[in-house]
Amino acid sequence: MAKIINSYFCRYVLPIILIPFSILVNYRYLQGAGMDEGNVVSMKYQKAKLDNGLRIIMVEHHELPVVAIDLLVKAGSAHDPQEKSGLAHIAAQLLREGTRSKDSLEISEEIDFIGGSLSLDCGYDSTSITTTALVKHFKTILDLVSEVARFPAFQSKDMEFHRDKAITSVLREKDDKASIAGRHFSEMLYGDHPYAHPPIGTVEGLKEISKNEIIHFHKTNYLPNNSILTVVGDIDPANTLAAIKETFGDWKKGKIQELILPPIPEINGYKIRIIDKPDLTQTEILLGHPGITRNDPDYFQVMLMNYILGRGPVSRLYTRIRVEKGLTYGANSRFAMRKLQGPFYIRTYSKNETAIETLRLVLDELKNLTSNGVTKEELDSAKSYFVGHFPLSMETPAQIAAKIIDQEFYGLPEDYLDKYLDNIKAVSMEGIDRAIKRVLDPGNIVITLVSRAEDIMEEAKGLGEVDLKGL
Amino acid sequence: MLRLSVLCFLVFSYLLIYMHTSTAEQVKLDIKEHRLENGLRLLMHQDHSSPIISFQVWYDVGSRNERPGITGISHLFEHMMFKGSRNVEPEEHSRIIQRNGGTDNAFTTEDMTAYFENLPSSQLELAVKLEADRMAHLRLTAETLESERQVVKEERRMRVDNSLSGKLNEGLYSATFTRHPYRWPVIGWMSDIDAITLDDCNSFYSTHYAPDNSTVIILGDIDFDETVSMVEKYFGHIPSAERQDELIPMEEPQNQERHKDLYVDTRFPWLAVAYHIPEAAHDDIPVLELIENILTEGRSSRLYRKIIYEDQSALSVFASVDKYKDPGLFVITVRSIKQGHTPDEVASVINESLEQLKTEKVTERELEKARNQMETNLVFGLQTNFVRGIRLGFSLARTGDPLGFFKNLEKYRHTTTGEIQKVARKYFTPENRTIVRLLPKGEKPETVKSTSQ
Repeated sequence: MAKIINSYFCRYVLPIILIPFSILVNYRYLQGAGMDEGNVVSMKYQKAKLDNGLRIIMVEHHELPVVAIDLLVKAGSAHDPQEKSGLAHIAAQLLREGTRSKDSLEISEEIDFIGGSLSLDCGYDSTSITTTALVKHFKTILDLVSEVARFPAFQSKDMEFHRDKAITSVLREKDDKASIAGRHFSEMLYGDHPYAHPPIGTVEGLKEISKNEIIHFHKTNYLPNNSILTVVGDIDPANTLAAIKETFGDWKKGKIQELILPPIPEINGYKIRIIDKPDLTQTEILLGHPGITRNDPDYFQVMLMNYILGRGPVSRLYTRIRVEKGLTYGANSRFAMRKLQGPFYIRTYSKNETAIETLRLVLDELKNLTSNGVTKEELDSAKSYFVGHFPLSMETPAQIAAKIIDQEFYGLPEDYLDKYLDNIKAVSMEGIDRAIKRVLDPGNIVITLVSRAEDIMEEAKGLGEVDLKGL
Repeated sequence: MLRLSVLCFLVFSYLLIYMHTSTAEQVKLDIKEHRLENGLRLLMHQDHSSPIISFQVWYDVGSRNERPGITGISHLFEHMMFKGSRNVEPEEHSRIIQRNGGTDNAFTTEDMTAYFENLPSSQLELAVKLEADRMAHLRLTAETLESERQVVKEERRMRVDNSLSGKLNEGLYSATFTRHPYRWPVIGWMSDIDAITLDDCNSFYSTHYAPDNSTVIILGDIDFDETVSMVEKYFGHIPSAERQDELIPMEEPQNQERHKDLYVDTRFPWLAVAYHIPEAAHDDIPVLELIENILTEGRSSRLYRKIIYEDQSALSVFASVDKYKDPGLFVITVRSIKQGHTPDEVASVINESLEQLKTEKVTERELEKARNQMETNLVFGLQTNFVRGIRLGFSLARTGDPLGFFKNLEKYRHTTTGEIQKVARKYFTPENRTIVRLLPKGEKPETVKSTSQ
């Protein structure tokens, strides 16, 4: 789909998040409790655990003859050693560049020939090896996942290739104002904490990584008792589990080292930075502060609050800045939830002449929400959106799997999905008010502006001290 | 080939297609068609696996139907469709849909414009009502046009003026097309976005937004009879429109290689190599799609292997085949050419690779791999009601046959290595080629030679 995106001009940016496809045997059918009669989502899934600690999720879905396998390893860029930012990412990329029995081209040829896909995604908290194919190739891709996860060769020439590729990728972020803003925003927000850089790392960190460190990283983190294997699609769970046991049963468990991270720094007042990119006619605006963890008890309150503030075409930000003022094409807010506090951020953009006016409107909305809360009508609309939308958010096996993986990975209650709708309905005005007061902090935020600095500098100074940086 | 037009005298035309994958598995896609007296075409697809639907209205109008002076009106007008109709306040459309658990959006392309609502199936009538209201009774005011014009200008600044891929794309199509409307971008030129008037919008609306110029596609947990009566009830009274035959200027064959350089703020040059190819319905298109796969799909593909792994000269390479109503382009794009390498060096690697397709047949294994990739992509693309509808709608708009994309599987299967060679020889000629480069500003020569067409 990506290839035709160029000729699409959507009314607004639809956040289509491409979720990675992601035995105690008990069948579970989830029903949309309390929904209209007939409005029932059924999903069949099972969980299991091998003796070596490998957790398994299987989701049955028989509409199409396809299957997806996802091996999630609980180690991401937050596990990068100090000064070696980018290590987890390179380790992940190297998995498919050769193993004990196959070289890089053989691996690619194998997956390409069957029309499948194999991708390696390193996030902050975890890394995923994801592969998809027609279900007749299930055994081939299951073996491939095991081969690349467990037996990578880590050859020096491949490592130099990926080091160079990653360094160029970091440098070329300077071609894109949204990437520039993202990198500076994280740095200002997180200081020495590993969330300060995107998983791809920094140029300095990438230069320092050695082959031995990658081998060590793999050895200590890619362990069955540190992983979750998910299989979704046109499968028979009993046969699938037998195949998994055969392929992964001899994977040796190991000791998992506890990750100790520095605290997330506090922000005092407005921390404003302008990054000068003189060719820009439109200013990229990114602001926010640390948000919440994925297992925060106020998760549902925050989800509804964020919908009201800045998600989609009925939100306050969209209405105020785009509909009423015509100052932007997009204004979104989001809580990026991770193991630790991911950022709460608002992203928008406006021509340089109206950039600071737009920023001020965003700040006003944030202050207004914090002081006055939401209305009952807004809360009710938000709830009816999420409740009504539930079956649509569970249409594909990958969507279902993503929710179950979340439950497993973030240690959410076992009945998380069963109670999902009840939890949304139970959010009260008091509850959402309490969450707003606790979570939002409009006086202490990081503000990143990527622009032609001379166009906005004077006006920006009206908000406080400004730190000017070059590209 | 089943032609829907032949079958529309039936109350329902029933189209069913099975895809036999190479083993015993079968994938099927069936649609029913109904046509209203006012010309509105209705396509339905049933899937009771989940209590949800996708409701889509496809208008047969896009930037292809525009003229210089008001380029971008199709897209600006699409925004105006959310600005209120007889029974709906401005921006209320999305509010109502979301309050009922749905999402909605719209998009404009060169050849068509589509609007959609994805909803719980209990809310089908709501979508029918809302879409009919804005097809028949849109409220267009100077005030909403003014504010939406500003929004669209910000969209253009975001997607094109401050984006390398936007600049490359715009530069490429304006260099390769000199007569046909594909020469301007879907979003339009900035000066035209500024110039479009309320009168332009009114006349655009009455000409193109009529039942006989649109197709409604409904997919998911529906009952055929109920759905037909519902669509009849809300759309049946909308009158069809008088439309004169449009004269769209066709592109003359290109008879000389063209070059265009754009100087931008980057350290890493980009490159696009493009060739004119025929319209989506042409028999050579599936063959070109196979070539696209052989060249750049997956890491074992020819150009990925050569440029990314062996030469290590760039960060990404991909090919694309335009499947447009009128003849489009086959494009190979290389992004972020690394320091120590040049666009010329990469262009000659691409050229060698295309020459090789002309002189040597691809291997049977490569062809089989490309077929498998096309087949799997197609099956994965059938996972949601929404995407099934999108595939049907595009196929209909561009080839006249909603199931054309599905039927192409047979063509992929029967294409031979000899045909691939023949098609490569036909299109990959120097005179049919255009090369567009994004180069670092600092490298701009003092006196710029006019190399662009």
